[in-house]
Amino acid sequence: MALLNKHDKKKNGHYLSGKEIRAIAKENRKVMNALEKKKHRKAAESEFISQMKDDANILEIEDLHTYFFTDQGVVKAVNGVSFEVPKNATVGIVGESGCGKSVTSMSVMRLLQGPQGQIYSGSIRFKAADYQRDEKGNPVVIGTAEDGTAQYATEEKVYDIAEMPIHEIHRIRGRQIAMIFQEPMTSLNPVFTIGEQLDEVTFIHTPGATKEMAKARSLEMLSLVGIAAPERVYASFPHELSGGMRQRVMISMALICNPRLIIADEPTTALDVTIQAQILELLQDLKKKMDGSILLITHDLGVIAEMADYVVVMYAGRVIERGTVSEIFHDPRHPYTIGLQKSKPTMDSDSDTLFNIPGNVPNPVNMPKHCYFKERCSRYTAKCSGDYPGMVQVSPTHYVACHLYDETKQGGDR
Amino acid sequence: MLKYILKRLGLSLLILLGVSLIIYVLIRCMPVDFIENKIAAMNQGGATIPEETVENMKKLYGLEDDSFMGILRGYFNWLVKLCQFDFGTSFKYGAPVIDVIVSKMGVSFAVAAIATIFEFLIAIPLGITAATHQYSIRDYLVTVLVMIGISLPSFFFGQILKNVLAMKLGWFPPSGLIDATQTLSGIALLGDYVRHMFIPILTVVILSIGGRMRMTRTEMLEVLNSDYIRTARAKGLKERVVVYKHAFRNTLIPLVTSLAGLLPSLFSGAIITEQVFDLPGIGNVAFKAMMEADIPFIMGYNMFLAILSVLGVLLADLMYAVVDPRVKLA
Repeated sequence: MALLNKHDKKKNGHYLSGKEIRAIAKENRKVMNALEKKKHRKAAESEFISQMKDDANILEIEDLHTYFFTDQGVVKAVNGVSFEVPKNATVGIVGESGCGKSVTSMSVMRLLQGPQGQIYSGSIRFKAADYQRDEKGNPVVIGTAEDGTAQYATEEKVYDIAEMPIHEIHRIRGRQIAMIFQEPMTSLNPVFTIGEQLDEVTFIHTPGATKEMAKARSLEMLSLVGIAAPERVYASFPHELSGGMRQRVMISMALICNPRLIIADEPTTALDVTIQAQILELLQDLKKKMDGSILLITHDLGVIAEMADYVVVMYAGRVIERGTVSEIFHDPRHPYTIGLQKSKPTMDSDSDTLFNIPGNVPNPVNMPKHCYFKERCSRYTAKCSGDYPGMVQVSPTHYVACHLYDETKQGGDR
Repeated sequence: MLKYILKRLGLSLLILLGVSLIIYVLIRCMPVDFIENKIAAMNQGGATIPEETVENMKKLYGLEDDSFMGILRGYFNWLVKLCQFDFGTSFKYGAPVIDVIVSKMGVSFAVAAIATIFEFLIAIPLGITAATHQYSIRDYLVTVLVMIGISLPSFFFGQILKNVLAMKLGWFPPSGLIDATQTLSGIALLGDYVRHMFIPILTVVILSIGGRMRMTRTEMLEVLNSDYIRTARAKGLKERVVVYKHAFRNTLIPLVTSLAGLLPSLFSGAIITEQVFDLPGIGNVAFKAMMEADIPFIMGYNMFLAILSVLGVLLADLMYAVVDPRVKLA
């Protein structure tokens, strides 16, 4: 049997012997336990209070590493991602399936499925408007509103979400950062009414919220997202609504607490084209009305072109290019980004076949040392077999990770 | 709703008719005969019974014709009597079947009901912790312990508990339902019942926790991995609320329906456990009746269980509509 294993391993690099599997499991357990301990530790606020690099940003992700510890080895789903989301801007993340877009957003929300999925290192700095708290941790009351409910003082605090213990995360989730998921059909709890699920958000995040208050807020949000009969939808169960309606409900749920950042993880993927257009229009419209930023994750370049101010292009767990939307669309630098642009269907081409980038994303367990795109790249040079390329700045807002532009950096663009 | 229930009850009647026919034919085909057993016992006492008397006795009990048509005739006789709400008289106990069932049901029901309550109270929290701490030491420990519980046969484990708790330690009486050496009443009598029923209930609970816990764990894991749980977490709900409100409410759907399916087992009695502890419950009585081919009693007992099963299934379907808003009965 052992002989057979050895033989197989030679033919196929992914085959693991029992000994190797045990070694991987042992190592994984060690790291996972340490990270889980850190996640569940008791920490003073000072331990996860941080400072923004640029005050105009609402979210700064720096050198984020999110790993999945599997039996085959460590999958580096997010491998040193850095980008920022400025205030009142829409940032789009694009990339093909499995490039780490969703995992990045899950890391920001700390929704990774533990103990396998863990933020290994890096920081996620977020500027939150949290309730001001007295020594006992109770929110400070500064007055009463017309309807008799207390009003609370808020203060801006910068949290490092990656360092927060998991039981503190409810300060952020739902209230500061809300998320819209890609599967509206399964993202609502089937046994509770829409009303119950919407009201809950108000109850969690507003101290002293009453039933009437929560209901009024929920109905307001339902009409805001363009639902014609909010009262009826409020009393319905999720299965009584269509996919587009459910996605509207999800969006209204995200809006209830006036979050500073909305993460929309492929909000239109599961919907048909006409509903897609409506939902995108709604998001555009809401962005104007609300005072916040949107982090839009999609693999649809058309959606990005229409919605985003800044674009981050990801490939195999890394950011390979980022810049403003016009820079990425009119002046793409990375061969992968150029390939993506070419593979997009256009109205004015008579060609029968679409361009496609040859090859596949490399196996996430054993990533090579050199550029991950090398094998698929049409313009690779001898340099590409060397170290992974660093980020090169080609304009004040445009960065690219490719050896083709290394001279630009030396040219003193920075 | 009412229309649905009536329709289901009508269908149940047909099912019960089929069940009764099958049970009757099967019992008549059993290689035991009440009369022959009785004659054999008499012969052993030294008496010789003439063939004629045997034939007469068989005729009296309605067992004279063992051909297919004879069995069918016997079945229709039973059915006609049943339509007059007469379940017949037990051969062995010499009393109306209904009276025997009712008088013995109490003990079995008490044991089963108390055991079921404890089973749910223990198994569900265990299943939830095992699911929320999947692959942790806690999960493995709980799983291994309940698997041991599932694997033990009741006659073996009951005997061990009896030996340790009753014989060696003397904390509980080993068998029976009441202490024959003294006359008790009121609270003292109740206490005596409890002392006698403790080990049987303990046996049943330990043996049944496993299945229920595994079921809760599996359901809970499935629910915890679903998208709406992720939504609930993303809203900012505390993990406790996510698990016990959003996840548990969905886990409840299969759990509640299995509860309705428990209906027959609440009344059927635990045949083996009652044997081990010599409890005068319905399982014990039914076992003895079966050994002696007491046809009216076996028919009555099995029909009683069949009715409960049919009602249990109906109840389960109704419960579905109660706990799952997606289910509409029509």
